[in-house]
Amino acid sequence: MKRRHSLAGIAAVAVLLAACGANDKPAGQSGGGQVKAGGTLYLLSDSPTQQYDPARSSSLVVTGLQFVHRRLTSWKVAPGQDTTIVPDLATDTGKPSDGGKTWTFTLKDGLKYSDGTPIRSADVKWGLERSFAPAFSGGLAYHKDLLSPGLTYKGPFEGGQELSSIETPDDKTIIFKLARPYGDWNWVASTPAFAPVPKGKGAEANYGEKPVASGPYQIEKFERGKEAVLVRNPNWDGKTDETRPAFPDRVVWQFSQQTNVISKRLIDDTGDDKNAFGTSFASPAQLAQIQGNASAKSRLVTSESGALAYLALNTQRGKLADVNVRKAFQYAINKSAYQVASAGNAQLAGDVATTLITPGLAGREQFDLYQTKPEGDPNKTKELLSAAGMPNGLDGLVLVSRAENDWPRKAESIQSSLAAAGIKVTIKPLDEETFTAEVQNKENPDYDLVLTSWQPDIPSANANIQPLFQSTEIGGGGYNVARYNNPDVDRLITEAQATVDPAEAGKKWAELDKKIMADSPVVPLIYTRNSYLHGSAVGNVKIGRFPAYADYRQFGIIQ
Amino acid sequence: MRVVKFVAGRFAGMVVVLLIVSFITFLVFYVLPSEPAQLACGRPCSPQALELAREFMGYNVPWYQQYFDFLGGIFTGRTFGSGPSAIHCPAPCFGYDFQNNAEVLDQILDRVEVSFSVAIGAAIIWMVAGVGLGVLSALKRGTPLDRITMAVAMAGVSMPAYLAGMLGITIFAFGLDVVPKNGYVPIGEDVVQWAWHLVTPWLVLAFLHAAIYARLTRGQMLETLGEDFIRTARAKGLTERRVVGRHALRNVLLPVVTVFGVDLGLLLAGTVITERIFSMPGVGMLLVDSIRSLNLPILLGVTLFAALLVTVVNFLVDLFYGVLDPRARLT
Amino acid sequence: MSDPLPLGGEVTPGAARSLPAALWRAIRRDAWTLTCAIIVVAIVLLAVGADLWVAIEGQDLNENIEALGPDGLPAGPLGGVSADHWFGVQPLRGIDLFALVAYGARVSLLVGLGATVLATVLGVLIGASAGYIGGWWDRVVSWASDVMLGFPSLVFMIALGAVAPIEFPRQLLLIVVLGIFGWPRVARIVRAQVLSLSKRNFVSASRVMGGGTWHVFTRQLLPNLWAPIIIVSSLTIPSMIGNEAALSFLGAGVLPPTPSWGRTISDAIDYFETDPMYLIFPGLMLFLITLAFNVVGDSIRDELDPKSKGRG
Repeated sequence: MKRRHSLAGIAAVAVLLAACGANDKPAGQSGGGQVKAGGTLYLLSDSPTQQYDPARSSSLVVTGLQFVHRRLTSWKVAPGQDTTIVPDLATDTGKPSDGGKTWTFTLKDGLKYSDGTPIRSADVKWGLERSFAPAFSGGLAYHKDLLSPGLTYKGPFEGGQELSSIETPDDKTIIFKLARPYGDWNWVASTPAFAPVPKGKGAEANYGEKPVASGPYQIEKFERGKEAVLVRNPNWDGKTDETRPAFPDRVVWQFSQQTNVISKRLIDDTGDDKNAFGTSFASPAQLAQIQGNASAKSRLVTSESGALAYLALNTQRGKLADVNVRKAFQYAINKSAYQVASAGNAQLAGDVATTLITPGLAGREQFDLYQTKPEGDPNKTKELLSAAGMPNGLDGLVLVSRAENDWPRKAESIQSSLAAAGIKVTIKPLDEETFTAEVQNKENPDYDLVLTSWQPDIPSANANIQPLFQSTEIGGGGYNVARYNNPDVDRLITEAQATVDPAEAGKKWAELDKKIMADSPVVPLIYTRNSYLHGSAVGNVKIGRFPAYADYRQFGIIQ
Repeated sequence: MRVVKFVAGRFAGMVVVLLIVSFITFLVFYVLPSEPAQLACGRPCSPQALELAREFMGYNVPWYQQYFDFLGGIFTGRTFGSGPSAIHCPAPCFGYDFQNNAEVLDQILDRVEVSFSVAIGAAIIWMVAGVGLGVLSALKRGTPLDRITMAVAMAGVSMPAYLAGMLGITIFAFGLDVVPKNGYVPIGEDVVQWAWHLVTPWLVLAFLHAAIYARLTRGQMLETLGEDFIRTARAKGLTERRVVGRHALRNVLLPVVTVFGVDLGLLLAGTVITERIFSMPGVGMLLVDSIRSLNLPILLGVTLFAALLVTVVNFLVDLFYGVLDPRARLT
Repeated sequence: MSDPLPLGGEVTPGAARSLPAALWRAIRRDAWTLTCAIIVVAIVLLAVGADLWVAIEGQDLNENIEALGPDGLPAGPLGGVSADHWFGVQPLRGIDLFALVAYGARVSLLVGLGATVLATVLGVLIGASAGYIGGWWDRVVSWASDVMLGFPSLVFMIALGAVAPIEFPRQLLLIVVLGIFGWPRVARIVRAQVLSLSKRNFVSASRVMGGGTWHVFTRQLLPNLWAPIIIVSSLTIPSMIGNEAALSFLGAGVLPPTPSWGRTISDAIDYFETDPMYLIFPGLMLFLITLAFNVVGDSIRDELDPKSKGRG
């Protein structure tokens, strides 16, 4: 019925199976068989299409894009472990020099495209140049400002200009000269735009429907709104690719499926649906139904953590500009009720959050500056508000939430909590686009509170802190919706980003986490769990600690 | 001559209607706080990136200019960007959908078959069933048949579409598992499967509408049967069959056709709720999706398309009206 | 959703004055009408006295997760129906469903009636004038109603909802939008009726006898329009209630947390298989009020239209 978003940065709902932990049982358990090479995997999707143009994609390393496109680096993801970076097209995860300003990658030997031509470093450069063309923007853009500050470079198509900050001295080597030191560049090199596009190709708008493949599959048929059929890429060599076992012979996307029908088909588990995987998260209503069906329950896979759901307080507006007032909010929220409103119970929804950095990221420290019960402490809020000169609480605040999915219900839950603590708010649900315009782009937005969530695009605390709290991200499409502006924090963020040593950088991010929480610009709510349902013949459905998305690379058909 | 003048007048009217509809839609979404270029901005989105995207999509000029660009595109086509990566949208260009990388017109035409299949199939069923039951009910006034038909019709009229649709799909597709759960099979691919997949939406839509038509027909029939000319016809010794078939039914069809015109026009333009509930990828679904994502080019295109269908069907109804009823001649 | 409007032709002038009497006669004549009238009254009372009934039940609109089971569904059978919760509770939040339905009735009726009044007033004025004056005005009206009918009201509602300041009462907005999109149907019927009446002998006679436009309109046409107007409006109420619910169902209705049947139903549909009572109560109420208004409206028509009554 409802559109579910599978984009990073937009959370949906999650569940945890208490008994079997977060992940699938060994492959043999379901049908007595083993995951073997061969068979057809069906991916049931509620969206009308799947973006296979790397420049325009925001697909994480583990999901849909990787079937067709490889990138410079990739992630090693496993349940119960922190996610680490591994090479993909490159031989290693990049060599920083010049204090993190220059990064050098070398391509592996024997890499070929689906058409048999070799993959050269110039193609990676071309792919990145292409992402600067206005016609192909829209994908993850973490590289853009570092390669071309102020986006002065407009892509290779008009005038045939090259991007001078990328050098390719030979067919194997690619050197990035960044505008400033950036310790996470190796992570950035795992974003979709770092997939190669044969130099000179990809000028047409629908390149994404018939791209030249570097990954284990190529697109045989693509029909927007209906289906896409992926077949093996004969020129892909598994020996150069340690992250993709590529078990199935064919991968078939079925687009524009209703989520309730996807769920029903997977619960019924008959025919081809045994080989199917639902790409949207199971909704609370579906979870309730799955709980009552032993077979379906055994085929539900849940992440152990996930996107940080939080209540942002507009630090530039009215009484909320006072840090003491903001601190009062930390005690007001009944996070237990929020969990139930999200997914039915605490286990299904995800753990209560007290920090900004999500579990699974290197350097994260668990702390709680505002200790209270999970149910919250409305009286403490009232006391703090009194002390801040508001004995009668607060009235007339505007709480913005998204209008899609379960957000209105969650917003109502927050509204109830706040009302109990003497804070009266009006909910303003906005459609996604309007939300962006009203909350992220407006010069002087008129909201007080925003209920939203954030899933980092790369497994680095950087991607968790910087987009939400650096003052450069206020307005203009940025995600600093608390409009938090602290020059100290800005400086520390730039410093932490420039730190190349991961352990040292991790420490800096953890400090920032505490420092920001002390100013109380947001109330962390939960680390939202995601859960997926799959057919009985799909094996190896696993979710690492980060990201809270199933690792499509491992999927195989049990035979 | 009168007919030519009438047709020309109505045609001019249609063009005016379409212009007004497009203009209002455009204006409404222009004042709406939304940033259509955001989608092409990426994450993170810098103000410079946003400006570039706006420029490329043609959103950086004043609103009236954007509207004229849109109108101009219908006759001359449009080009977005320049150089080898430019996007061409040949005339008649009803806009370009950057979210899905397709011309708006293509997207609508792709889905017309679905909406038309749903609408026309359902319309045939409800016209036959509704008018048939209505006439029968009127002739057998006061019998159990009449009472039951009218009670069911009343329930049908009072049932919200989404409730009926959900109950239909839950009972027949999910519960009894006798009909397909969702989806659409193109008629060119497999006629049997096409019909089979459409059975539930047809029946649900037909149930909701047949009820209205049955009541309408019955009421009109009863009234007509009481009119002088029917009595005259009877008195002349015409058979009851001929009286009902030739004389009464002709009169009864007038209001039925009026309502039918409106209903069919709207249905052809896509049944938002039905298509959503039955996962039919028709024009209605396109509209809902475009509202959700504020996809202005699609929204404008679909709105115009809907207006076009409604006005065309109304035009046909007016013609038909004139044929049926000599009293209400063309004005 | 078109309105079932089999309109009779000649109705006794002054029908409006006899509306209460007609209603009374209809109720006395037919047990079915009586039942439906009682349902209407009961639901109106439910809406008006929502605070009282909910207080008697001992509940409110607050979140209460204690009433939920471990999976977020209502604790206990039948969606948690009990002496404490007459209709059970809402899954995931534990809000009392009776309270939701009672307060939701308020929104449904308010919007339904308000929009009907607006649509009828606009429709009669525009439709009657178009039919009577004819000429260019008739064409303008015809175009305008084509525009209105061709324009997806849902689009407009969503757009307005996003533009309107949050302080602006959403119920009023719904009334205005539904009213504005509702008049063309009324106008079409009234126009057709006027056209047909104008051609009839008594109107022509009045014209021939030298009656002015205004005279003919007020003395000859309007009295004959009362019955159709009453019938149109009584049958528009249920369709407006349905439209409000449909808009809420699609997420363009009143703002949360204001209860609305459409929004509750939209939410409940997902739970139909695990908690059917959640859908049944608000769905049944919506169905009942629509049915009851339709039946009562129908009976009034039968009473006001002697020809239809004689055969009913």
